[in-house]
Amino acid sequence: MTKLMSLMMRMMSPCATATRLASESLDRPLTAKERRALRWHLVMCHLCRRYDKQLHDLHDILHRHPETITRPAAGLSPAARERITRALQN
Amino acid sequence: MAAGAGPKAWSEDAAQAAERQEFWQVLDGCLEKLPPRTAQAFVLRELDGTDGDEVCKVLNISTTNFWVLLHRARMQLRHCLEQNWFSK
Repeated sequence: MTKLMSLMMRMMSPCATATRLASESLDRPLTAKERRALRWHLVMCHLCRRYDKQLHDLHDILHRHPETITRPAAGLSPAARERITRALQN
Repeated sequence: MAAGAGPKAWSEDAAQAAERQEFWQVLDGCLEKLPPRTAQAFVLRELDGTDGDEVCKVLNISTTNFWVLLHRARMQLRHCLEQNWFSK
């Protein structure tokens, strides 16, 4: 973890840190320290526990039903699609 | 988490909601409300299943920025769904 991130974590409220870690746990393996911090906070805070469960439920249904979603208007521009295609080919 | 600002209990199980067509229309509407960069990162990662490094390359963002965008996307989507679906 960078010094800046560790400073930010100390300045954030425990719930802000917990909700950020709950989200990041879906994108990367948390460090042992982060996992402990998140687990310990969830034991004590029922609102963050609820938030964490709702994020996981949302994540699960999106993965189970990806075909159900139509791409939002805010999705990718043709240029961005083109960049993805190129990036995937390299 | 501040009282009143915290997440409300959902009125229905997410898996049950996912069986209904109308739920996905509401979710689509919520996705459209996200800022474009946030929506792009979320759609690429969570719906298209694109690898995180790939998303960063395509959107030209740092890994930390990518995590921040996804965190914001999830926070806003959860809130939007709470207001437009799970509180009914």
